[in-house]
Amino acid sequence: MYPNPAPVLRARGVDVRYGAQLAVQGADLTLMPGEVVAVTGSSGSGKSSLLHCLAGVLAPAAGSVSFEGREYGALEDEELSALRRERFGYVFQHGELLPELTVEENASLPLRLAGQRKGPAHRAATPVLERLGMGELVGRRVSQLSGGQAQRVAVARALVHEPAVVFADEPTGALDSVNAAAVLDEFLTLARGRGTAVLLVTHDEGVASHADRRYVMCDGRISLGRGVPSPATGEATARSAS
Amino acid sequence: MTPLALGLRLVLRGSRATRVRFLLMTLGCALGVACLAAALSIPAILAAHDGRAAGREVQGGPSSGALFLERKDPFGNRPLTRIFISPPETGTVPLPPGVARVPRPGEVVVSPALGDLLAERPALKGALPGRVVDTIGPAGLTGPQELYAYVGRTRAQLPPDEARPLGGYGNRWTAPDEAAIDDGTVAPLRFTLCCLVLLPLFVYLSVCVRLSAEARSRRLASLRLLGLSARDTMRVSAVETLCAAAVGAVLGVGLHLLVNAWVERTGWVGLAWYPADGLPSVWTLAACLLGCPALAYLAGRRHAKEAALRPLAVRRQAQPGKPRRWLAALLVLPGLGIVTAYCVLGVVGVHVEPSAVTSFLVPAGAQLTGAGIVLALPPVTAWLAARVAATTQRLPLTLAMRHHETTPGAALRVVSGLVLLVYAASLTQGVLVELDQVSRRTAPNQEYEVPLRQVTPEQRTAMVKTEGISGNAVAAEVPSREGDILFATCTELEKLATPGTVRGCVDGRPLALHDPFAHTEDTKQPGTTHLVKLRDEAGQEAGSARFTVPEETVTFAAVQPSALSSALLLVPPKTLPPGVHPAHARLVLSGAPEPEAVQATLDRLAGIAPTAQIDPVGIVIESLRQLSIVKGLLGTGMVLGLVIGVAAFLVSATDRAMDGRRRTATLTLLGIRTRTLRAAQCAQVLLPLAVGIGGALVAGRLAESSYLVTGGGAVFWDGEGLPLLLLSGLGVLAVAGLASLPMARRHLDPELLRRD
Repeated sequence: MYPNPAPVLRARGVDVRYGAQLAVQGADLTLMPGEVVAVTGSSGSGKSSLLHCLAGVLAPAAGSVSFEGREYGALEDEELSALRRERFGYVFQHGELLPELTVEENASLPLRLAGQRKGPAHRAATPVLERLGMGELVGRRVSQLSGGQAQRVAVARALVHEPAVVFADEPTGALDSVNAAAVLDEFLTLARGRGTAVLLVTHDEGVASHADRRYVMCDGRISLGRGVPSPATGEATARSAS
Repeated sequence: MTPLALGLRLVLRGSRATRVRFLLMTLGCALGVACLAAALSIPAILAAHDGRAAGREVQGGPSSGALFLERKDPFGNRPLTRIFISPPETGTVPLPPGVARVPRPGEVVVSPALGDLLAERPALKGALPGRVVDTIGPAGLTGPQELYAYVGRTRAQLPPDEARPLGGYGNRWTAPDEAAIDDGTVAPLRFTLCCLVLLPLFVYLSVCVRLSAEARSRRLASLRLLGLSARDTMRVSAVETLCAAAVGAVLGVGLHLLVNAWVERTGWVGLAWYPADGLPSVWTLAACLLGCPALAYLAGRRHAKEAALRPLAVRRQAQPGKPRRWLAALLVLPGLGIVTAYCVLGVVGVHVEPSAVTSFLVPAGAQLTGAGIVLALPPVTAWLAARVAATTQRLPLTLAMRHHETTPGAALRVVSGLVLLVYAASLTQGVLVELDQVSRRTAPNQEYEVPLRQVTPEQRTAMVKTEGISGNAVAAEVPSREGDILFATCTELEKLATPGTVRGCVDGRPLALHDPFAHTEDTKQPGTTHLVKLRDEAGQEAGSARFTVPEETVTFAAVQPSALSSALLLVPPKTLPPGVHPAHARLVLSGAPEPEAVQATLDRLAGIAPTAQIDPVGIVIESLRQLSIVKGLLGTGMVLGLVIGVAAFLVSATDRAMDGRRRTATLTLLGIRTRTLRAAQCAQVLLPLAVGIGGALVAGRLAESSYLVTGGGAVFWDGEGLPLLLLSGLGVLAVAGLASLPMARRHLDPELLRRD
């Protein structure tokens, strides 16, 4: 079913704790290359905690997360940073752009952080920005942009370095439905075109419907959505992952 | 819920950051109020000092039948005052203030500080012959560190031609001979202290008011959007600053009282005072306890103005407005214009006499320049940052410069305390150079003058032979008072003159003296005759001697200052008959110039002749005492300014780092390297600081020179302190750069990335 059957990201029995509180409990999740996976659930169900854990921001209290076979627990902080810098991309609800930088500087930031010089980095960012309809606004500060425009810049920043995985946390949560649909279309089209896997965290059923596969979270427990094929068998299942 | 109740609730039930901010604001206010109380108490302290100095001034008069003799000598940079009193055989003697009974012959009453000194330096007992029987109380002393003594002597032990009848003592309401600080020094001193302490303090308080500015503004904007009126929104914000200022004011007054009580036991600032002198007056208390909280309330309201008037923009974190350039230009251009104009006058050699115009223009120019530098920092550094960000290839620089470009005001709060401190240090140096001109000694030796009639031949011989004395001569004043005749051999002249400058000296005959650096007088013309009256050892007139200025001349250069400056004739000592000396003459002694050697020599000479007036030539003890006080006060101001400036820097830099946590979290998530983050943080602090310190050094130099040009002194340009200032500036940069590093932590808190 997939060109490369080896999963790019795998979580097994992951627990995430905040002190005594268990935010995620025994989560199993697999992400294949080029696949768009959605994790849905109500507020406080543990979606963002799971995303942060998969992105290497939060260390799991139990279980393991591995990227391309390398377990996070075996990596030093610098190695994990390098992974986030070079292989991961991020899109958040509010973009989390740096307001003092221009559109071009924000979009090319991952390349600059990876050591590229300003000129080549800007040149690499330009086509991505153009595809997202931001070609005319490269010199603007992001504080001068609308919400939709800022989110496009965030998408460009997430994809400019051609990452293996993009983590998207409510990527269209701050946008109206028209803008949300447009940005999401552009985002997923670009990601699929580059073979990038996308982990999409959202509580919006409309957004989740764009995914190839869907997980549902409830009180920290994750399960495959109804009628969604399992990555391992291709058959529809409703088995709880825990 | 009223705005007051809401504001109080936000303060009392706030987050940890709110409590920390409140604590810092309270501490800042306490420090500020303590400094303000000290500054306001200075006039009362000086008045108490001068009142007691006037109250114990000995008045001549025949009423009591007692005799007195006053001697004031330098002890280091403090005057040592000795009042010799010879009580009458019958009757009562007026009691000096602070003394329980007048010392009888052989008894001494000393100030506590002099008592301590006597225990440390037994050699000083020679100057205070007798047994210490009591100490002088505070009513008879200007301060706890004063060296003062009443020495009981018999009539025979006092020089008859100098001892005067003791009539009584002065009163507190007359002007004293020895004011704590000259009127002319008070104004520049106050001005410099203001620059040193109050400006950094103002910056510190404005930093405290603006702590967590972003988060607070967003919270206030939310309240405004929820329906609170603009006025009430500002009131809610002001409640916090009002509470902090009120608590801080009480703490500050307490701090002032503590320091006031502690100063008595130290001679740290040269002007130690009794606790009662420094107690705050009703007006001082009103200014501290009511005025400061009122100001803080207004500042708190002003801070919330943006959130109250533009809540949506604040909530959406719209780009802040550009810094106002015109205000900075309005201050810095006239200020620099004034100080530069005086500097130009100094360059072309025009000596500007001190006047009412200069005493207004120079401080005004310095103040305008200082304020202008601070206000010019945001637009100048923002412009510079934009240029650097556009051209640099380095990511840390790009991040730092872009951040600075959009928030130059935040950078201003971080660095302005340190910039003002460096600027004030330049000004301080100007004041010190100006004061130093009255006491600076560069002479290769130190001369002492003793009136010949006040010492016996035995004492004279002992003084000449005492340890530390290398040369001696007798200088007799000619009747026309236009010069001196010097009784000395060629060897003795060489020891008194500048080394290697004596030419043409021959022992055994009178020679004309010529100092090329002194004015030529008619009295030195060959053939001019001078008559010198003589006395025998018993002090009786012994005729006169006539000396004619010969053709033969000795060329020499007197040290500056010197008792030899007015010498016109060199006469061999053996010319005078044995047992006879000039009637109006001084014994001139010469020794090493180092302060310690001078003090030791003075102790020994005073031990040989306790009642003789020993004058160390060129040492103006009152100037030295005042210089010591002024240096002490400025030193204290510098230390306070440094502490406050560093505190303002650390508080605002930490606050800025806290405000930027979300940004740092984003960069960390994107995988930024630690060194990149640190380099960006460092550059962000160093750019405005380097520009500010550079500007402060240049402007401070100009302001210092304009002060020197208009100060009436001879030195216009002081290069001595420049390396120290440059090093200090570099040190401030290095420390600030290092201090900024721990704030760039790459810790990633997912809370900061959560959805709003």
